[in-house]
Amino acid sequence: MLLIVAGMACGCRDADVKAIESKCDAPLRQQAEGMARAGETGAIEVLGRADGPIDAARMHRLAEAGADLSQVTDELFTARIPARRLGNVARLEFVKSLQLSQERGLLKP
Amino acid sequence: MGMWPRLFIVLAGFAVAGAATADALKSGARIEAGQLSARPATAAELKMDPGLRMAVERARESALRGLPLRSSPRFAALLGPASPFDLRLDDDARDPALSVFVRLESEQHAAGLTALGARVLVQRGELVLARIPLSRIEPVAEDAAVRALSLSRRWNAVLDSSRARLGVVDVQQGAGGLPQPYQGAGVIVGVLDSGIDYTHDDFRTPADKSRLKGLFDFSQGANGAECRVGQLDSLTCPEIDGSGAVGHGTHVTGIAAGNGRRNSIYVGMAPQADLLFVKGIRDAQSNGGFSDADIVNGVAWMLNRALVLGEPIVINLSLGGQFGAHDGTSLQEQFLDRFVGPGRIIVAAAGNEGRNPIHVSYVAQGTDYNSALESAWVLTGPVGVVDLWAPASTNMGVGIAVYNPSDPSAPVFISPTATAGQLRQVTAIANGTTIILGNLTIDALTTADPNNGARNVLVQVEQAPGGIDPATAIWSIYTTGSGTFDMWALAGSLFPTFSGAPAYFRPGDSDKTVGIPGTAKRILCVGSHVTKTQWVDIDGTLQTQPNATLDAISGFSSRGPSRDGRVLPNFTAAGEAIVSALSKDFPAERKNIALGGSYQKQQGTSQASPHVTGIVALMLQRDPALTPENARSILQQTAQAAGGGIPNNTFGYGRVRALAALQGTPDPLDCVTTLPGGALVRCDEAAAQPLALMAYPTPTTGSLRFRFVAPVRERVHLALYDLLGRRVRTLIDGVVEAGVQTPSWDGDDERGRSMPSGVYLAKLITPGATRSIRLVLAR
Repeated sequence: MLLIVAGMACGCRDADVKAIESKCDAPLRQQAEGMARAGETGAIEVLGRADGPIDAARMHRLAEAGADLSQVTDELFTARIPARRLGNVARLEFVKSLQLSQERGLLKP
Repeated sequence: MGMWPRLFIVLAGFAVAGAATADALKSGARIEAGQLSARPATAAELKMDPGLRMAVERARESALRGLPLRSSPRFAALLGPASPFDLRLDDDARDPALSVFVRLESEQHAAGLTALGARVLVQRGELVLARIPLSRIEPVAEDAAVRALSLSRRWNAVLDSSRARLGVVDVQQGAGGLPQPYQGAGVIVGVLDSGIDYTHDDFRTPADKSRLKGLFDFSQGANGAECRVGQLDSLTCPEIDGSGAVGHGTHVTGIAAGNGRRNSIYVGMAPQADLLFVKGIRDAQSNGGFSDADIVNGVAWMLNRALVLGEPIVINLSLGGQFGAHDGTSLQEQFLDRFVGPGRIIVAAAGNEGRNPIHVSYVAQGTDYNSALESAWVLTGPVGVVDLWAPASTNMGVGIAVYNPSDPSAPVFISPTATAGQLRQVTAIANGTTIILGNLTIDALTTADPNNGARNVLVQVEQAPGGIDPATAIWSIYTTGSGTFDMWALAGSLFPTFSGAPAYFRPGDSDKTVGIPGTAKRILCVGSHVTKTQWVDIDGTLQTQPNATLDAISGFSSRGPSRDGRVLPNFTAAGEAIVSALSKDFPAERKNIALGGSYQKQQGTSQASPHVTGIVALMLQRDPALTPENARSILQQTAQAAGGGIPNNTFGYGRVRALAALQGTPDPLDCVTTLPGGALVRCDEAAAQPLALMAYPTPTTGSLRFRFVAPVRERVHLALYDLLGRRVRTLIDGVVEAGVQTPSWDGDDERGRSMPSGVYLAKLITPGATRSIRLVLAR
């Protein structure tokens, strides 16, 4: 059940599934799965953390894996990733964490 | 599990009491404390506001007793400095006139007022300000052409009031032994919010140029667009603060840095600061919220602009949410913590969940539903979400039960639990029926979150195809196993609380409701307290802020601590009945528009946060290299203690006091420089030396500010070199205006790479001289 669900999110391999489970937060997993169920192929906005500074070589690898980077600060980054390529990015050995970009609200009582 | 009937009885009791009060009020009966007899108000009295009624009645009482008005204690009480009424006996002591706002049936009836003895001072349509002798108030009120009368109040503008109560007025005037007035000059106030009415006079200079040094608008195009200074000056930037967000960003910015150009009463905290703004909502009309990624990218944009402008910056974030670990480890918060440093400070609102039971924490127990503890969960829409966090060592299962509101004595559905590493996805169907209650997800896959090592469980309920609206059922979350956890109800849902609940029922509370990014570790987190309880609206009517007591915590202000045990908020500032700039694109209710227009009243920790943002701007003017840790420490140490033991999770360290904070902000004594002859001296000793090149702090961890004085407008080259003479970074290569220049270096080279620790050389070349200084970068 678990592999099927996670596999739907990226349409790919067991290694991707394991990477998604261990590195993506639950909202990101659910978002990817929901998009897969609905047949949506759009990109998901994420925030990510690597195991060390993201240099040009790592930027290149992230881009190759499908991440469209916006902001990079040391080991942190923001990016848009097509849902079906989430597993590619999660599988990169230097990527430690991926979180769904949540929506925050104005603070009106 | 028959707890529901008791809940309904308790709620029904509140409803009955409220109805009785409302009926009494509708009848027009007088209800006064200690009064044994009551008479109905006359038709004329019902047209008067309470203040005017009080004045007329007390004058009548004085006359009955034969007392002159000044000698009547009850009337004289209305004349004192503490009275909110603008009551002056300065003309006819026997029959003094009062200033009264009169609303007529139509503007043609003003002449009739004069005939009744009133002196019309100002008329705008059907609204008239008049002086009316006390003896003529009732005849005027009895006139059919008069709809309402309201006594003119003695009032202070609320923003002005909060400036005074927080001590900002003293700072702006340079009182209290400060070496100079501080109004934010040379400092940038950055705001990321719903939008800004950048055309508002308060965001323009006396020369009618924009005070904004740049504006980024995420609602323009796919990835946002920037408005440059020229567009802002010429009012051709397409950005607006649309009605979807009630003019939030305009209001917030006005508090932090409005200059009161439209109305000098409403000056903000740092009226001479430069401004940067990011419209962080991707809808032109400002509907919706802010994406974490856009917050990060928007803040980064402001920091980069500040670097280019060479000014320290404080950024306000009056936004937030409850999704996340509440321990400062969300990636958004890690980003923000990484961004700040000397001369770069972020202030965030604590949140407005202080009255909402959205949090539950207890020790799990039991092996199945019957032996478990549970919390009722009320949804307000077709989707409900709960975010649960616990130590990785916790051994617990999470399940869902559903009750029928018409017979809540036993659940109609019980899900199996999800334990560590499990994912449950089921469609809930009521026992023995075909009623589809909803699609449930319990995602317990995260056994050790990569950012904090904690367990995380996401619970989600959604309406199923052909199913009922989940909000019409009563949901419950039950836990088995062992271990302490915290969970937050999201998407408008609540964990209701009520008295007399059985022991297995765990009600919600508002602890740990400081939101994200308020729980970040290096940003300043602000709660709200009350500095004003009333304001005068555009019609001259005195309005009262509900449930507000002077100096008390605002009921809505979120409570700490963070999940990792840090006391939050750090401190509180003014957040109720705050009057600030009104966006031209938001049609505010008249009762919320301040007398004179162009400003509106709002409340929230959203309003408290920019008060602190503005105060930090004043502190940065005094010490441009102030760190966020020092700013927080100074504001905490100088706050007015409140809320019991200090610190506490309601007020933090107490109410901020701007003057004390500025007095506690040291001059940058760690600033050193070399004089032309090579002597090493303190910056303050060298400040008068033209062309002295200063750098501070040194050693630096990667955020360093230079200071030099250009005696005339001239070409300047300032660059950094390593000890091998290789150029690392060019900071200035062009013409600068005469005056103090304060460029910054972030520790990066030309390509944005962080430079390693070591000694570097900064060289300043002008047409008349060359100066250099050694720097130590210590990462």
